[in-house]
Amino acid sequence: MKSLSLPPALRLLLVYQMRARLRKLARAAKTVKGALALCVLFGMVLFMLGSAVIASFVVPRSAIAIGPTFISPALLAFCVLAVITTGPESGIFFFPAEVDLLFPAPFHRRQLLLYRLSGLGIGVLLVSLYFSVFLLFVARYWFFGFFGCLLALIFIQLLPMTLALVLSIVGARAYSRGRKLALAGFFVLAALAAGQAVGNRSAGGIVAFVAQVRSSGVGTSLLAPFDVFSRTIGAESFFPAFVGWGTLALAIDAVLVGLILRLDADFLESSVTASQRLYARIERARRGQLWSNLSAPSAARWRIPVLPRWAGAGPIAWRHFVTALRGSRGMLILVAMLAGGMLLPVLFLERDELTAVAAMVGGLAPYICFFILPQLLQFDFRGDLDGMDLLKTLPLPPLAVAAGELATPVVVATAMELPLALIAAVAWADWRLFVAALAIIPALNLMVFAIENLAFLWFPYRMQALGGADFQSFGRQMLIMFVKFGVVLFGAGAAAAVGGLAWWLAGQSWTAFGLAAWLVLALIGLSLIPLVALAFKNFDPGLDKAE
Amino acid sequence: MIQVHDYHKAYRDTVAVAGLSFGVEAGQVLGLVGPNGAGKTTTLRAIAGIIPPTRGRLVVAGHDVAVDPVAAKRRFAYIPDDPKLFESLTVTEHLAFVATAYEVAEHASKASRLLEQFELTEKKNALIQELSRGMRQKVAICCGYLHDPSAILFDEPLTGLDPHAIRTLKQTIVERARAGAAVIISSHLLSLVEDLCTHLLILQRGRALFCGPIGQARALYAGHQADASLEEVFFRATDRAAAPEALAASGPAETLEVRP
Repeated sequence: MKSLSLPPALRLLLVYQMRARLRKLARAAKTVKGALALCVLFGMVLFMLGSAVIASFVVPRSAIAIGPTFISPALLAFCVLAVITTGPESGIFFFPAEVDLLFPAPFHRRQLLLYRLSGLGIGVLLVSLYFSVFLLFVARYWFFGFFGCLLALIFIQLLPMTLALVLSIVGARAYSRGRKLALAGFFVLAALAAGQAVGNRSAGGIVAFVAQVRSSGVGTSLLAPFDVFSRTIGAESFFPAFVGWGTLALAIDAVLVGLILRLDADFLESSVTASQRLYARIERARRGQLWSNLSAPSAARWRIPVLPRWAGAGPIAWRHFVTALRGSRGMLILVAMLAGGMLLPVLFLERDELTAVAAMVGGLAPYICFFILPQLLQFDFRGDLDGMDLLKTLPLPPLAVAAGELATPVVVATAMELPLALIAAVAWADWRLFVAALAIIPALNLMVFAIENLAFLWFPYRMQALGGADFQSFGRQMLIMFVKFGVVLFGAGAAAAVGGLAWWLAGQSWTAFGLAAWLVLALIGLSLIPLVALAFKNFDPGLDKAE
Repeated sequence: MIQVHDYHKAYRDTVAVAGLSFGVEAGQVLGLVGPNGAGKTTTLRAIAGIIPPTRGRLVVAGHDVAVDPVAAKRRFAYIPDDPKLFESLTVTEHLAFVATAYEVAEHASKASRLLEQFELTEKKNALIQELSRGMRQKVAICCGYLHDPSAILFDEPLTGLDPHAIRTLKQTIVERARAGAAVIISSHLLSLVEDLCTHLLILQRGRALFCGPIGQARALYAGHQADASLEEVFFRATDRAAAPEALAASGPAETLEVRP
């Protein structure tokens, strides 16, 4: 069947796209900042891969039971999520250039699907190669991990496509009815399995609990299709285990591919709509408004009184405050998802595990404060990349603009972090902790966001729109993270040193220590504002936006 | 060359196009005009096979777009408003891809001529992301012209083009129409439509207010003013249709079909 083969033009396009990615890397490596970002990225990747390889030799496989235990439930959860999120507005995603160039071109729909599948296949192959190294922990041989991971990831890609095509054929109403029935059945069975596991629960924490769910009669049935993938990864022998489970996993993917190609639904229109929507989301994420994808902005009735002028900083800050307020629902959802993801396992933990998780969360807190939140709260120059021309034309001194731009993220980040400090103060029954946090957190945030904005204004970079991993951007983010940690460490060190001196001079007074340390941190943070202003003054939108 | 019969397009409760019928023969240039939301782009995208009609039949070069889309697509080119191209591919790679997709023989020389015509020769090895908006538009036009289509669909083709490129584009449209291509130009620039088009289709709220030769439109809407501008014709047509009594008289999904 001619329509079931990939035409030469689409093969050529795939080759061009791969070549383009390599060319992009090579081009990036030609500039100093690009080369630096790539070096950092590759250094990090090599470090992680090396650690995984070494650990796979050092840590005995039997000690790592968590991998196979969680793979099948994770795949099941993904499956349920895919069913829930597939709706009338779902569709197979094509990049805007593909919509404009391929849809009106003389290709059959199946050929376009085959092209989409081939593109996904290439991406999944590379990702599987990377992840397979981390599966050395649980796989007897590297290839077992690679092959199982590849098939599981292909399944993850194919399922939403299949559902979107089924929806196109049966219609939204029929799909919705079927979905309700399927989900109701699933949740009843899941509750039964969880009930059985709770009834049989013994010591051993979350791993033991999930293992109980898996081994219950209902759990085994529910997870059976997904166990095929985890059993391929964790196969103990080449034959019959790996060959048997691998063939089954391959068959599941083959059935999905066959379904996708045979359904032959007219997906073009739904794809155009879905692609436009996803593209808009990606564009918002590129502008630093990732949170806005989780919830529609609140109505314009959410208002904040216009701030005083404050030499021009007021209106700049006010604009960002309004955006933050109207996007607060999305931000809260994102923060709740992050917190939920971290805290959910706690519900199932034993006491000794709880201590370990508490230590882990404590260790992660700086990462969240200095990396996640600054990425989330781009209510500053980073979110204004498209509006730089406007900012430049405002009759305001750069210092006022810089101060106004930094105000919102500092205030919002502080508002998000202070409740954590309050919880810590209550837990340790020491109110001074909260008072110290009240003073120190804004100063630290000012430092962090000033560095983010300095890095952005000195080395502006717009994440690539679509298509392939943006390696340069990853490398750049890591580099900025290192610099931020460096400056924060320097600031904290200087504050501790001066605070220590004050403590000694004031006769071992902790109040003196706190005041002196806060003063140093605040001074460092404030001294960065003129630097940001200078960077803004020297910023050339004409030169830098095109990157 | 292009035949549209009783074309309807509805999105849930919203009717984008209602009962549209028109035809464009070889050598004709049809100007598709109408206010925002009239259904112009929806119509072009349906002819291009990107969105299916809710009802009706769209035929290009004798091939029904819904029944035999590949054969139809071989015969036309669609240049959308603000065309999206592959950012990381070069201009030459785009042309090579299009040449392979449409099986264009001796595409290298054709591509070279087109690039020269649109002053893109110097940029042939540039990545799309390095090009300005206007240059991208020119690349999209070159891609569209490469396989010598029998029908060409333009959606706001002048956006971003410099005066040289505008002149070149106008010349090529006239040349290709003379060579037998059927052309549809959707645009808000009535001067462009007046310069190039032999026929006019005025759409409003998904309905055709007029379809026929431009002279006939003048006669219908501007009385005996032979020198009435297209702008005048357009405003009279749309204002008349917007009047409550005209809307009431038109009835549901009624289409005025005037064949050339």
